[in-house]
Amino acid sequence: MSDKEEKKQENTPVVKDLQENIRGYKEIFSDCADIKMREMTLGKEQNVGCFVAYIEVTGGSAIFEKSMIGNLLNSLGNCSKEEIWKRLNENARGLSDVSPFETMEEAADGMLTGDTILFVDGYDKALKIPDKGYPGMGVSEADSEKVIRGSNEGFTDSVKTNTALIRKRVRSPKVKVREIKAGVRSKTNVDLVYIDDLIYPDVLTEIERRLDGYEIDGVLDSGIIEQLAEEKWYSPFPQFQTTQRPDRAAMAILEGRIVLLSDNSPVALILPTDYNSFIQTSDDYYSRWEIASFGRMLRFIASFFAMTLPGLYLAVCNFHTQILPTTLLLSFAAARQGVPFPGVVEVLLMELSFELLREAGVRLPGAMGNTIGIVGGLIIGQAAVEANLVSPIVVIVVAFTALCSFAIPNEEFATAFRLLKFAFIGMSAWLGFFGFLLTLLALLIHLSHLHSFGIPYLMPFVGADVTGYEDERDSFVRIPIFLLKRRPIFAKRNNRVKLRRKE
Amino acid sequence: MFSNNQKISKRQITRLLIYDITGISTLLLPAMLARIVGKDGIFCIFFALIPAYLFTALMGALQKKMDAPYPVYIRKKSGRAVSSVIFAVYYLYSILLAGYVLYVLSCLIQTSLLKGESYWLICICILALGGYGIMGGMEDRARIYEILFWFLMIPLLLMLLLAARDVNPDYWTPVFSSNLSDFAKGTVLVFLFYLLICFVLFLGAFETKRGDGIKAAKTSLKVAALLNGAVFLITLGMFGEKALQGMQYPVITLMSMVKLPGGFFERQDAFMVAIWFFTIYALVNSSMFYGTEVLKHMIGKKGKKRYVLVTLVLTFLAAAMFYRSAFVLRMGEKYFLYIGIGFVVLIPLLFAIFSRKKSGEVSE
Repeated sequence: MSDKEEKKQENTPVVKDLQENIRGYKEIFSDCADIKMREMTLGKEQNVGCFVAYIEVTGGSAIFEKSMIGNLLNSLGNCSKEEIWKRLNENARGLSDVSPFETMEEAADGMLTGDTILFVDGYDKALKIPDKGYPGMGVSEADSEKVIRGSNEGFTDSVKTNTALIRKRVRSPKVKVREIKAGVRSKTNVDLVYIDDLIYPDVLTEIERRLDGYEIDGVLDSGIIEQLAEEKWYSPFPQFQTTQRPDRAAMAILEGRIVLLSDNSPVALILPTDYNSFIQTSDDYYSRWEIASFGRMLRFIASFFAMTLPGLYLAVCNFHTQILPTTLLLSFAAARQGVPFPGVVEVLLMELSFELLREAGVRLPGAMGNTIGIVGGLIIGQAAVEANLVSPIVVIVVAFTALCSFAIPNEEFATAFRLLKFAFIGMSAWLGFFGFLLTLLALLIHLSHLHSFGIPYLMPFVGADVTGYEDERDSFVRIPIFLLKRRPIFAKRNNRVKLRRKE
Repeated sequence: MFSNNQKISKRQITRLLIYDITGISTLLLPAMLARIVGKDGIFCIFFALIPAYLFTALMGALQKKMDAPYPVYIRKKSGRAVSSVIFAVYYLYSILLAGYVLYVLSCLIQTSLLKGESYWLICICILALGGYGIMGGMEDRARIYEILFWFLMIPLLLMLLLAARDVNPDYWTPVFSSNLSDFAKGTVLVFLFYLLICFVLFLGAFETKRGDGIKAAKTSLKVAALLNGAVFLITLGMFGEKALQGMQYPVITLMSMVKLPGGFFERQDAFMVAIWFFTIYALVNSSMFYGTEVLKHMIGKKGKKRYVLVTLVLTFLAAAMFYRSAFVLRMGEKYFLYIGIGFVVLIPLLFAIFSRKKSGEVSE
């Protein structure tokens, strides 16, 4: 269809003549075997025609007995013609969530959200009546971000369910949900969830502007929105935080942030974000402050080593052996005896093998995914050492690096460290500790340039005086919860108090 | 909402200035002072605080009179021709300083970490990062040093504490054995390093609150004096005056001698070089940044990248000249000592004396 014809069709009004409406609707959905359309009659004298259209799986066989459309049709079954029209104008709209449409295109869009469309002869609007909706997975455990303590609920593919999961946790009328359609053809529902009096309106305006900045065919996951809406696309560091946990999302909106939910995606985006947010987990706040602080410090250190350990190993062993005690040095040398490759090749070989194992483990189904870990870790690693392809020290370094990357709670954030690790390996192999320092400095400069909706990525370690150093109390360590009285920098300045002791 | 307005806090300025001063001074001063004034170098370190504080007061007095950022104020007060000359002097000072410090850092890396590696490669790598660092502006620069501060200071203080155990106090005496002329030279030398706070005048446009820069300068001078005093006493106490005179980077040698309890590391000088890498890089970056700002005001056209490029090229040329020619190096050191100090102190002094106070806020 040409653009001109598409534009002409955008404004086809719903008319009182039922047959014309039927013709128009059938034309829109020609060759759609999954769209069911039924003509029926209503009224005491069965002289009022009506037309019902729905997507096959969204309406069940019990559609007319138990659903809202069935109840509506039954209630109109004993009315006269005039009463039918009166009821449709007055009562039908009293039913919750019934939306009238004035154009055929709106009616078509409405049906495609998973609801039923009703046309009635002599009535110049189409009614969208809620129905079973599209099939989807129910609320199940989150795949990632496992916690020791706290809810295990995870987001689903339905944006409505996900919104409800957040509202279940924050039962305030100040929680607002702004709905946007993304994708010209997919018309994916995207919800922005936030607390009205906590957010900076500029942030909301900015995300809406960015969402509106592209015309794309289809948005099938929040990942597409994330990539289109981020400012520095070339940075390996994500500028949106992702989560599959409703409690994390609820916590985020209580901090004054915005949660973006996309239909058909169990991954929510949280904005703005910073480095510190990626290291925090939900159970940091459910556990006591000592263990929470210990876990935090461990994760921060892990994030550093996940990126730098192989490079540091290469720098020390190839360039600055004087750092190590003689016995350790001799031990390393003995372990490397017979290995034909230079250290950098060993490290790259093991790192790439590990990345392959990780990728294979993700792609393989269920039980085989677990097996690959054993096959890869024990058999291949052991075999490589015994064949003198790599030294045991390198296996230990690579394994420890992998453990460190697994300790990072957010997978997208951990990916940045996985990628940067290779830069450190390259530079350290080339220029030793100087190369390591150059890469570290380049990384710091990059992070200092990075923002997420105006918030510096390195908050609260930089510019902490803006919040009176309050945010630092919940960064490297987490002080006791009764001392965390203020919301972080994301929240509106005059509304930061979140905890008060009752006298 | 956090605004990216290129304003930095007092904490950030203080940390920036501490890096600028202490990095290069702790590396070079101990040997230089030992050569010029011997054991009395410790007194020079603290005595030089007097002219440094006087200079800070001068800058404070000038800042009160300024109704615009320093370069704009110079332009307003002295007209286009004279201000261009003043900018040229400042720019030359920045470039030579950046080039000299880059040369020192490259030599340090070459001798401590990468023996036999090309000086040019090291120089270009640091310069490239310097250019990248400048592009983000003042706020982004300040963030790097703010976050690194304790990561560098804590290991340094720890190492100094451990080294202090092995100090021989006999090496500190006898004191007051140098003559007045040598003492004055030593004080001027230390003052030269403290004079790096002169860039505070250019910080006016970037301060969150007016006067933060001056307060930060005072704090950083105190820290610099204490750190330099500690390093001088410890290196003197470890090596003695004669050995210290012959060393190039005594503090690095010190780091190689300190034994960490536990014995996990045999030597940690390679790791400790990281402290001087970051701090001296900070000074290279600062000099190039202020140089770029001056150039921008001198030429007056928009476009940041071209000014950064010009500054990078000239800095590289300066570092190359210092490396290739011992004569140029000597001349450069003399320039800083006699001409550099003179201009950097004289220009604000003249403005402070001859310009009247204007009311109004500092604005661009």
